[in-house]
Amino acid sequence: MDKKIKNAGDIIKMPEDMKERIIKNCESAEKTKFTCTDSDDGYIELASGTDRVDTQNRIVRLICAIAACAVLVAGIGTTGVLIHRQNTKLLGSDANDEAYRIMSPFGDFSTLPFRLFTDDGKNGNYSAETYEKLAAFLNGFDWGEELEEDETRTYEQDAKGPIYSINWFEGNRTNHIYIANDGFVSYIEYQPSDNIYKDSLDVVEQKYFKIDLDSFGTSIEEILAQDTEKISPFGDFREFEFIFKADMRTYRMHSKGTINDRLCDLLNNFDWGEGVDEPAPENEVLHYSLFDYAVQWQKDQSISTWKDDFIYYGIYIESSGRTIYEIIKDDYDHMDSEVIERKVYQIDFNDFANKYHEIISNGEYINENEINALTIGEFQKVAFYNYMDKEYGNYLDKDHGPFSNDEDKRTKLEEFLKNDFFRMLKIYVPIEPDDSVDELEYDSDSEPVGSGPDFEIEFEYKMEDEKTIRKMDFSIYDGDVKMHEWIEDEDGLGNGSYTLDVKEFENRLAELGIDLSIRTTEDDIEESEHLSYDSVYDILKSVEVKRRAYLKGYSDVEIVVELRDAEDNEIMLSDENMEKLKTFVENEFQFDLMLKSDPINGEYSYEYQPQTYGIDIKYMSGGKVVLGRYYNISGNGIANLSDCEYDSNGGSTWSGPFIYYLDINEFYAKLEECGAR
Amino acid sequence: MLKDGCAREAVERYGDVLYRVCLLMLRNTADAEDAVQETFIKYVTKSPDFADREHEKAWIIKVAANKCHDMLRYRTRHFTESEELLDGYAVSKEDSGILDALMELPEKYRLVLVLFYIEEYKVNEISEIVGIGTSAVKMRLSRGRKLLEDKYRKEYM
Repeated sequence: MDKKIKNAGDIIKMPEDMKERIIKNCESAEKTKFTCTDSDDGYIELASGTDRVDTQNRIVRLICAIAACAVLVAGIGTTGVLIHRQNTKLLGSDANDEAYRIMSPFGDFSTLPFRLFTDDGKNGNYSAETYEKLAAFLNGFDWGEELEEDETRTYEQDAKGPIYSINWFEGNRTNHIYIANDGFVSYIEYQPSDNIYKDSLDVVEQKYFKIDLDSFGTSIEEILAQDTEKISPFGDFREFEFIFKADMRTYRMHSKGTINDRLCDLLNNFDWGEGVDEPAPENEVLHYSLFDYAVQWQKDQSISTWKDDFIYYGIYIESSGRTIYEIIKDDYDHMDSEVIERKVYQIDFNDFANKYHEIISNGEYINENEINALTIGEFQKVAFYNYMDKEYGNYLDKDHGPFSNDEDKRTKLEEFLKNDFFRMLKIYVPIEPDDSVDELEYDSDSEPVGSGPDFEIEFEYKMEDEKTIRKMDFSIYDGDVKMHEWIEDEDGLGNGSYTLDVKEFENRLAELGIDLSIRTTEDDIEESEHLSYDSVYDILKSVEVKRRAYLKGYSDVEIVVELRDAEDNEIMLSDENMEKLKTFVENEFQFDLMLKSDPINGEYSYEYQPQTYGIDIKYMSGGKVVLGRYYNISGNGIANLSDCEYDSNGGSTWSGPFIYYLDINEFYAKLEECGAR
Repeated sequence: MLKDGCAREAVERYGDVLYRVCLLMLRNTADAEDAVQETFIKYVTKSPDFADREHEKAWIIKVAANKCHDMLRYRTRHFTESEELLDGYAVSKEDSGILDALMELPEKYRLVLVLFYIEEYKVNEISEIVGIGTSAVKMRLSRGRKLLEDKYRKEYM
């Protein structure tokens, strides 16, 4: 076999014409200087007089540029780690200096999202406080000198399995520490293979140590013995996956990440008080969007495999503190849901809300490596859109934007966006368990809550080949930030999710002269009437801004309204009634009716609701539909809107669904007035 | 070592090795040519000083392997047409089969097998070139060889 491979491989030679092409190009390259050289000392040198050599595949240049910069970034990161490790040796010299933090050979456990597993049946489910103690112990523990090789290690020695194992995930890296019953410690770091075989892992680093297991074990057991994790009346939230919905954000919880730990602690340790059995009122809708906070889960089910005809659990918290805990056996179309258990608690709402906000405000900022990766290439331009502004426009457009007459403002805003904005981005708590955002295809359904963004920022960077333009769009929705990255006129490169402190961001914008008090239109909503519905107002407003901006490009827009029944057949009306319906739909229906109802929340995760009525609004120009808005209204008042923009080439771009809750009885009354019911 | 004005000499000396590695890694002649060219351009413009010829060759292969890796990563998002790579070579059916089987292995096995069996590098040298530990190289060789044998016997014999 060995010889066969060798013989077969040796047959492959480079064709002579290819050789000549390469030699010619190399000689040409030799004579010229290069724009970017990643020299050995880790600095980028810049020179002029570029004369690039064409490759057959220009995208490769971009990938190479990204790879080169990634190497540079990795170099900086490595240096940081080395400096950090050097510092640990100096610990005795100045123990009070925060720069000299104690750190293990595997990193600083106080910052690693690790889990410790031992044979105590708890499956690593300890309180955040216990993990803090474990981190301090693991950082300070004497792991001894690193062993050169594991070659002398036999299978039998490891066959009994580890006494302790410590795992964590960072980015796409998986780290394992196995501690065997003789004190032998193996550390392995893996990363996914970057090839078409996605399931395989590459070993990045291996380390071996021999520790005093008695000393290690005694200390660990002492710490674990003090673990006093409380369990909520609803069960241990560390034991199952759950969806936590709050402040218009959705968190899907899994057993990793410090924010997740803290939320588990909140739900487990919170004083829920005594629950009182209470029968469910008839036709009660426990839709999570109607509550300030909601938690939902199914026992023994991963969130990703939730089924419709299953028993699920929910906690629904109102701002009054009234909290409903309900176990429901549901079916496919939610028509025959059966309440198995229902209790009502009265909690201290402010206490819960404060604790939740404390957790969220501890979000960690993205690091310099990620900022470097985001800002790779030569900055070209940035556009900034504020959807609160009735004048939809780019603030950095010197001809037509709101700052077109003020160069100073434009310069300052551009500087802020190019630099400080990236430093305001925080790590996002993933919605999906293994949400490796840079690998996901762009999916407009993953846009957060409700509707369009409050702000949009679009960057352009020129890549090393001096031709390729990399674009990056940040959409900011009430603190959630979605990033989409692509090459101009080509495929997407990836996506990212972040959060930011909205108040801090808006304060900076205000300092830069952006008036955030501007409302969408003067005539559509009387503000005083709707002050308590700010969130709904914002959703509707931004959808409206988008619609208006879109329709600006067309002249003579005509509106066609179609009313549909439960089977989606059009309900025919007389001309007079159709005019009434049109007026109602364009005005009261789209704004006032929904705003006068109970508070509406948007939710992006679509749930099937059987249609009772459908309303299609078609904006026509030149005999063609340019924008369609399709409402599906169900009998329980959930209204589901999808928007679709049609281009002249027959293409279409869908957005939504946006989900609202309206007063169904008032809606029916209006239909009756239009002769449609 | 080869330096200054050495493009022709370098391509003559290392061209076949690099092309072999890149072609077996990328399974596409145009991409292999790009990777080889990028490698030589880097070599003539910004290679470090080499201790000896083996050091130089190892550096060149390492750069080429990295280029291939980057291109394969790009390919995971972009479809690339496959082609009959060994057209134009006087390859027996048996030889062609073993290479086809080799090219179907995952990248990480393919590279160490090519370096070990075709370029005849030692485990510690492959460890240097690929940037992984010697035990990982041994593991990949062992598993890669097993996979190759299975594939070859099942599909090409």
